[in-house]
Amino acid sequence: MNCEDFNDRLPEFLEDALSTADQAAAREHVQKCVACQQALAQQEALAKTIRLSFHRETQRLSLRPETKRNILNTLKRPEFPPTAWENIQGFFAVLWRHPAWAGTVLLCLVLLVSGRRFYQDSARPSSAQATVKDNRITYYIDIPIQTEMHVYRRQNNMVVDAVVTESSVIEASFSENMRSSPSSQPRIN
Amino acid sequence: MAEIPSGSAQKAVDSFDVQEFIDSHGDRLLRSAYLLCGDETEAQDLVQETLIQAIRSWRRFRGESAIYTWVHGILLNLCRRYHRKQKRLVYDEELVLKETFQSDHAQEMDQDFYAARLTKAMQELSQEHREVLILRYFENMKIDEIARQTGVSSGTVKSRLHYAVRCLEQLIPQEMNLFASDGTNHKES
Repeated sequence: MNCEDFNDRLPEFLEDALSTADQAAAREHVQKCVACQQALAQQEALAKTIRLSFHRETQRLSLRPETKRNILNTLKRPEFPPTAWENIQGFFAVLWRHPAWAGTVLLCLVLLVSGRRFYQDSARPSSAQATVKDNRITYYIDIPIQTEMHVYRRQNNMVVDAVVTESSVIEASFSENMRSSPSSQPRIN
Repeated sequence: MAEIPSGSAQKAVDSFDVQEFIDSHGDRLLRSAYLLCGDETEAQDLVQETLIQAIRSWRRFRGESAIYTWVHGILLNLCRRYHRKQKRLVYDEELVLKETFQSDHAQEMDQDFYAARLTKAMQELSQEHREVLILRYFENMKIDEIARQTGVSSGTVKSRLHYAVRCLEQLIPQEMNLFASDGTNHKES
């Protein structure tokens, strides 16, 4: 064991927490090394000083009789269940201590919100809409139209034809008076 | 060491063992709380809250550590909460400390004065560094035990201890010679 190792393991050496072999190696090293002997003595002096200071500073302290009475009186009172606000605070305190849980809860919330929006969007009718104005209901519908067009052209002294298909959607509307039957003729925009 | 009896919380309150539990752990917890927060009145309140919480939630004690260690864990959490609240109060504590030291400097440097000075210097450390010093030198916990109690690695505990001691050396005036390897100014009491 060298000086660096010894200084690194000094706290464990002092509390006898090293393995038997390491403890023996450290003891052997410190017997030979003056610098490590000084470091060890300083650590021991430091521990002794701090322990004595703590002891002197706190030896006069004892739990006051009224504190003991307060504890017993509080314990004799029925324990009220935590309020909703305390429960919320407790929930967030737990999340704060466990970032993985917080991430999971956040992910669930995102999935919940996006899933709800997806559900609402898919459930909404794609075309039919209606507006009411001046006692008249106007319906708007999308009508898909497919048109075929024959194209003829000359190629190497031959006439070649091709069929071109186009799809489009047109919006049609028809309205009815709220008191009468709907008009039979839709108006195409 | 007093153990909380089995049965309902109300039964536990009415039984003699609660009183014994408070008597056997109260003073030691108070001294630790005083070192952690630096104020006796606050320490009394913290210990009162700690013991109430411990007795009310004693069923959660799984016997993985000594009961005092478990109760001390509750105290540590309450002290952390206390310090988070204290951070919101802005005042020049450093100035107060300097004035106190200068006015007392002419007095005889007795052992109690050293202890008080060391405890005041402790309050200038961060909560994390103060915790490891108290657990190491007041509660006499080993590095591994401190790591479990504070929820950090052994390496972090050693690093914090090293840093805390270096800070104390800077905060304590040189003429006190508190950390000299050739002995301390204290005598064994």
